Amino acid sequence: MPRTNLDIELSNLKLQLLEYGSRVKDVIGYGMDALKTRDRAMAESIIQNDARLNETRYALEEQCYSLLATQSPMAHDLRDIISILLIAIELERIADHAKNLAEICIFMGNEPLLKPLIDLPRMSELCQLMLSRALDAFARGDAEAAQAVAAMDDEIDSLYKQVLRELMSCIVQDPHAFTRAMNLLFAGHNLERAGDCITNIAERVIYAKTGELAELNVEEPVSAVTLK
Amino acid sequence: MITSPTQIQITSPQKHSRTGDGSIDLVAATSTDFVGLRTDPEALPSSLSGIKSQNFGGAKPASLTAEFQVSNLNMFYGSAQALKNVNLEIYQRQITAIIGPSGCGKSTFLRCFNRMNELIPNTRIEGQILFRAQDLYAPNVDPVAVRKTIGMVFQKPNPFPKSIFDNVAYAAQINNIKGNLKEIVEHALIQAELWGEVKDKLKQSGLALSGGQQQRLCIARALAAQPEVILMDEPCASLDPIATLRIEELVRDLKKEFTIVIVTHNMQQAARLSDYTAMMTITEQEEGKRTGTVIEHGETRHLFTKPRDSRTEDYITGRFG
Repeated sequence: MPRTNLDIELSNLKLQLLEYGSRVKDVIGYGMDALKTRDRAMAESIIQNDARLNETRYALEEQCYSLLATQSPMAHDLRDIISILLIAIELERIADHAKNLAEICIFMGNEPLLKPLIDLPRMSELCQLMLSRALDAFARGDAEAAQAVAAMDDEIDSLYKQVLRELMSCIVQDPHAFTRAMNLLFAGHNLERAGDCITNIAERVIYAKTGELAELNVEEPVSAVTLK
Repeated sequence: MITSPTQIQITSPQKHSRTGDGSIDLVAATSTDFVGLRTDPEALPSSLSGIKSQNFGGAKPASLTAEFQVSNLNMFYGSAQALKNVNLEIYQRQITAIIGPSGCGKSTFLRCFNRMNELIPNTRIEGQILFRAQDLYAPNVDPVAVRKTIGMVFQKPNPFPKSIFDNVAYAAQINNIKGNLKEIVEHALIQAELWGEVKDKLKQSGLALSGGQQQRLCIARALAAQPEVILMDEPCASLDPIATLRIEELVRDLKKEFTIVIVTHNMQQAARLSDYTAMMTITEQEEGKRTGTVIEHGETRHLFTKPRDSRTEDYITGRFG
């Protein structure tokens, strides 16, 4: 016996979440493009657009609360709604990290880049691929695919550590490069955090499917890396 | 004069013995071994050592003691089998909810715990229900003593057409509860969280109370018999949401002293109230006969978020039943 109302509302909610996720994925790419090409107009547009992404998150959140309050969901319905709620929050955070790339672009003004960007665009591409796969895993309810997504975060972390070491060495060689190095490091940090948020999304996909709560990636502290 | 609640000293209910009317020697038959026995899991009869409850939610938590152990229970109304192969443990001082679709045998199962089904002609059971390691259906166990020790509250409040005081006092008197009757009544009404509302009108008819108050009066009446376990058969089915929440609060308080088994159609109530939940369903037997059985049992918080059996999932998400 289907619960027509709940089923329809949940399907709509899932579609909205996937559409939201797709927009957030694009923003990661736009943020990196703006930084790479020093496109101030694009950066400003990303910052303006962030308010709309925030609104979408609150709209999704509100619909989840409404379903919780009115439909008394249980078992997989409950897990689906809770997961949508938490994934929406993670997506909004990812969008904030992408917005930070745009803000770094504006903050840097006309200063030339310290070095050509190679690893940071790679991190951005990986974030987009991870998010795309995480959303796909959510749409198909595929816990194994979600697990594989989380494993991709290791590559992002490793790139970030590489960026960190490289920038530290630039600072040691030329202390006047400190601010420009910090700007790029902050960009790397935002992408690394975005990867963590996507890992959290993968955790929610697994919870929705299996009811199991588990932390997928336990990271090595960055301080431990820098001291090596 | 009835003393204030703080002055009341009621002795442990387990120690009351009943001399009976001469024809029933309840003390000899039951009280010394049946009433007040605490289960030592290590001391279970050897015949039971091989029987593991189908505790579908996993092993029994070490901190809990089994109040009831139901093993391979089959129950028949004449030739019609109502319950098939039920295995379950009910834990002491926990609230266990029994849920399931209409007609799956929840109330029948509940009534097995205090032998109420025997009041219906042509009923019989197979299998075993142990109460604190003692067979409830052993020939030397008096069903009347069982029903005193394992009290019951029904779906519809059913106060007697007597005063509030008499409603509660009657249960104490008929069960030969020793002690000051006024104090026993007051204690039961306090336990049922009704005292504050009725202390000035104890001579008023119990039927003059609201539905929720009548149900709490019935709970007080059950408590006056000084039971060890309270069975509740949809106790809030005829109550409004406020009265329902009041009863739920009361049940939570009663858990400190009693083991509670509650049958409910209201899954939110089961989720809110119980520590453990047993899910029953109807299974089709040969020749189209339908019997009830327990398909899943476990901690309520797990059963309502990640049930193991797809039939439980379908039922609690409203896709079945």
